[in-house]
Amino acid sequence: MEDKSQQAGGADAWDATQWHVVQKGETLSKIAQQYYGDASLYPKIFEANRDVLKDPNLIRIGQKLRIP
Amino acid sequence: MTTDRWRTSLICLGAALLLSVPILSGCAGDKGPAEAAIKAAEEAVSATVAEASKYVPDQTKSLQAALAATKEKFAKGDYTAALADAKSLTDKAKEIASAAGAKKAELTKAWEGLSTGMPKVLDAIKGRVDVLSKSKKLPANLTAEKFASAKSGLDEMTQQWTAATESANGGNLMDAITKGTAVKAKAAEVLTALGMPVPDALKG
Repeated sequence: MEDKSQQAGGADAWDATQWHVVQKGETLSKIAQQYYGDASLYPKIFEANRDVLKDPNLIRIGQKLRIP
Repeated sequence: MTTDRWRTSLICLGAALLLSVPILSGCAGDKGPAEAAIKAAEEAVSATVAEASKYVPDQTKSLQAALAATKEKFAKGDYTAALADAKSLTDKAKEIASAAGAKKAELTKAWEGLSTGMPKVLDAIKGRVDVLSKSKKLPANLTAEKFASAKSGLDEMTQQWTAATESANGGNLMDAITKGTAVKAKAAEVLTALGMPVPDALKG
């Protein structure tokens, strides 16, 4: 299975932020299920990405999301 | 025969005494300079010790031991050796002060890196632990035992990081770096357990 998480940029050697690149068919709930084991925690991901997301139901393929 | 032997012994003793006079007077002549050199060495050592003991403790101890040995030589009347040792001690004190300065600069740089980066890592771990604590079920790659261990690891790191910061604020950079490095190693372990990426600064 492809590792969809990656570290940001690499400019900051201390950055422990986990990133997720949205794949086809994914929703915030599915992503929350993957990282937290609980789909209902999707608002945590939405809140952490308010700079790029306006609506939790609207995410785009290839979008890079911060996983808190 | 006995008288001859007695006479020979007296001659030898006299010769020995005559030969030792210049040597002894030479040693006695070094007393003043040795005393002055020891005083200068003492001043150089005491000016160095306070700062150097924080950064190059072993070298500082050997410097203090060398000063004590020099004083002992002086006390035993070996002024020539005491003078030579005292002179070299002053130079050695300067070398150690310089080494301490270099070590301080190195530790300061290392602490600056740690103190800038480590809080970010701890925040990331805390953020994930907080979210997972609210989860009804843990993700597939995380067992309850691993999560419990990560949580206790976070508490341990938080305490140790506070101690490291206190050491740094108190001027004890060696202790701060030791504690900070332990936090760094633990953080890599906890991040891995939580399935999070390990930053480059925590690798190796």
